[in-house]
Amino acid sequence: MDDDNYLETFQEILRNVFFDERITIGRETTAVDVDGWDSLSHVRVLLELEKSFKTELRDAEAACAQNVGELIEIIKARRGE
Amino acid sequence: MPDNPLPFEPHIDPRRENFVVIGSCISRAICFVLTLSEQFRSHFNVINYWSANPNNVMSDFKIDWNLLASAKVIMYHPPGWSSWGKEETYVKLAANISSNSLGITFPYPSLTAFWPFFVQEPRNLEENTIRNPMQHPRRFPQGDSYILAQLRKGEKSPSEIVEQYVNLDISEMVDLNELMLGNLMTMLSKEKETDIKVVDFIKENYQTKTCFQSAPHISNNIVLHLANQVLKKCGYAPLKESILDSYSELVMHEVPIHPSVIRHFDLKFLDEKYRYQVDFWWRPTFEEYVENYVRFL
Repeated sequence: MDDDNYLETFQEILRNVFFDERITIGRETTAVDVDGWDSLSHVRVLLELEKSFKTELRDAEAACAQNVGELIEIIKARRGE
Repeated sequence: MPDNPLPFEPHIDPRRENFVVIGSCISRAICFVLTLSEQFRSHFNVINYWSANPNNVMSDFKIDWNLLASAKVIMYHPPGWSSWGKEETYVKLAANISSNSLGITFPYPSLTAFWPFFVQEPRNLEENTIRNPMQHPRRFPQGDSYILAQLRKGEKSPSEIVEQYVNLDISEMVDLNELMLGNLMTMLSKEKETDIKVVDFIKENYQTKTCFQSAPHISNNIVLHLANQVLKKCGYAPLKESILDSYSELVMHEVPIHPSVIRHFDLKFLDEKYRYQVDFWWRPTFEEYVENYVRFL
């Protein structure tokens, strides 16, 4: 899976979690750039990412990722990519 | 609350030692409960720095480092218990606790499994013509992304949105068990760093007792559970479970839980007719709350 696929899937997840088709993200996007995405709603985002990418993300490292790019790198590493 | 040293001048009795608490809004309730212990009260002055803004809970204050240096106990949320943002002050705090002080780290629990569409309420920044008896505009304690999306689309009338939302089965849209597990695991991983624990209590009691008022706000049952652990750390007897029976919830505000979520988790402590203490003067049922929430009234 290449970076564009990761970003596309990630974006789709955010759109579904927040019911907002307007959400557009890049690797530099942080939670504050997306309406509704904060530390509380982050748990749901992580759960949906886990389902899509079939990897565990409910831990301190994933919870502390600073932006979308960092989270994608964590996911890739755990998928052995 | 920028640059706020303290919301009021604390009463400091020089015959007592200082017990400093630095934390989120829940710390106020914990301080209050601690002072219900006569042993605690007769030994300590309580000085509570608190902020409702979790991202700036430390930077909001001008911490009196001399006061900290002389404190017998310093209780605080350790870095990482939320997306605190400016955590360097926490690191500074932890580094500045002298060997003469007892440092107690405590959690800031949160739970979204009961409110899976939790978001901050964006309309609270708008003017609201509904005012409470104190003439403050009505604010909603938290937002609901599903309803906000329906409003944004503008395809349905407010009545249709209410009807659709009330009749949703949220358990078909969100894996609520996984969300509960995710909430608990997140808290558990953060709890490794704290002296005071909360996850086991939530696991054992969330179906039978009120544990949360809203996603970020604990209820009296958890407040007491946390306070009793602090008392134990200080060498004092725990407070009786009934001590808060005559009090209303110390951490406002209660947010209604969707009936399908109540059914899914088989919550025993409320039902669809339950009236929620959303503010001091307003106790709507779930449906009454949604009718007002959709219309922002």
